[in-house]
Amino acid sequence: MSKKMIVLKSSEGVSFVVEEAVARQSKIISFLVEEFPDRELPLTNMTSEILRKTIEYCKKHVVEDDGGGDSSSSSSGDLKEWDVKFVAEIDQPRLMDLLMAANYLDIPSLLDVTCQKVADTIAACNDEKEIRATFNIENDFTEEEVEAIRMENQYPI
Amino acid sequence: MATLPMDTVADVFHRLPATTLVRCRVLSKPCCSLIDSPNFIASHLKRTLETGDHIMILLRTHLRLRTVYLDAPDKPSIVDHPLRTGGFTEVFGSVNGIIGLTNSPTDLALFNPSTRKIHRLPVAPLDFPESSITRENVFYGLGHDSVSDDYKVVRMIQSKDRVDESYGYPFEVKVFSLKSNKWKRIDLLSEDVEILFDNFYFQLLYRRGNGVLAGNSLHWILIHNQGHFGMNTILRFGLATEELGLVSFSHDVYCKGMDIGVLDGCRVGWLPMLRDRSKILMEINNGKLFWFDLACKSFEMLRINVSEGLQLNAEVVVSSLVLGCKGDPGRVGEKKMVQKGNKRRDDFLSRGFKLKL
Repeated sequence: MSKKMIVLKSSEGVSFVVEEAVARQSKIISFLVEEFPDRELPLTNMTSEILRKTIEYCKKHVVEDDGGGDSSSSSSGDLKEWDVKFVAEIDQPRLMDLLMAANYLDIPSLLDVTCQKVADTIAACNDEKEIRATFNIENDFTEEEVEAIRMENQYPI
Repeated sequence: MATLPMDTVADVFHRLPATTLVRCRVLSKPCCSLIDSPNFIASHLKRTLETGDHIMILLRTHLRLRTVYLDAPDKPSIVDHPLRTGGFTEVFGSVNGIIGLTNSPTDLALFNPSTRKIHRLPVAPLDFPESSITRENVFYGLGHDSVSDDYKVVRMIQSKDRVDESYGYPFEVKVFSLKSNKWKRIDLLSEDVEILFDNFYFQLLYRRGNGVLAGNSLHWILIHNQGHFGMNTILRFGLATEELGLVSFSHDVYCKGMDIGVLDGCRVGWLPMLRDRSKILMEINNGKLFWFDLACKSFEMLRINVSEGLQLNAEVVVSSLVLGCKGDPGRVGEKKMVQKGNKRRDDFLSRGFKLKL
């Protein structure tokens, strides 16, 4: 039996042919596939690189439901290990893009692992300057305001 | 690199312990208002309780409070004792990241050791002279009333002196609500509770006599007193109903020096503190902590790196933003003055240095 395939198109116009079951892990794609069957889905705010990574994640996490004893391709322990390795290999800017992609496409498990990785990175930062630099956060406080907040906190920042 | 939208930032922030989030308030205005918002505080707490992440042990020695994350027992952090009046401050409960502190029946506070926010309770006057109160006859409880989403403190005091021979020992029960920031007297007691209080100089014991929260009620176990009944009884205060009642349990399970605790959040069981799937954290002999493995029935000591002094007691605290991050308003002014003073001294010293040159 041939599997149903769908086509996803990145912002650069590159087409990716993906099994529908793989792509359906995204709640948005799942919805779009039902609304517009047999159509190419343009993902204009995702680069080919991020789309490829997202598909790689979804392929690993797809649960085959077409019978056969082994319903999941990997055990949950192996999957967790794979997830940790998956996010560890991605550099910071791409991790943020992947997080945004998970958020945009609504893939809860990918959102979970990327958020956790970002949170771990924040927790490991030494001071707020490092966090701002890593996550591209613009400081809109004046020095006096920062001082006032520190005073409230009574915390060794 | 793209800037994260605030809902994604919130997703990330939900995973951080409150001690880190306090530091994140200075990142930017949107980050600060997110961390301060009541909705975020509530959802952060909900997630932390569900996942069991960021659990801390609070240790109290005579002079200091220390918090240490369970997953990093070698890195304790010191917290200034927020009630500094020279008295022996006692910790009388822990719920949703806040602890109850008391120096005396009229000097109480709620304190969040993660954010260091303190809320001093207004003074609740005593019905009888302070001279007729001993520490053993004051009982506290701290709980979160899930019905009204309010934090409540219960204070029960019994006088050690009778007014005259024909009456029992006078007592009073008061409850504080954080939402109203007021104390309220609990007058209506059921008959069985009334008898218990009136006739038998009430002796409750849960370690230091603190209420144990389970099923939206606080519980105190009654100790066995020779010649008195009521040894297999637990006194219960319903946080929503604000009524005192009694719970009986089978005499068969009773043993001398028995203690109560909570397993899985809702049942009053007989093992103290915390369940971590296959292990129970137990406090034995004042502040010595052990993991008890349920499967292989063995103990393993949890070593916490505290350099000096005796540990007096340990409390399990989650890392939450409850009460907010705005510290102690009373001490901000104080701190500013100290800083000004320091600055002046610095100026003076630097001048002195120059002169010497």
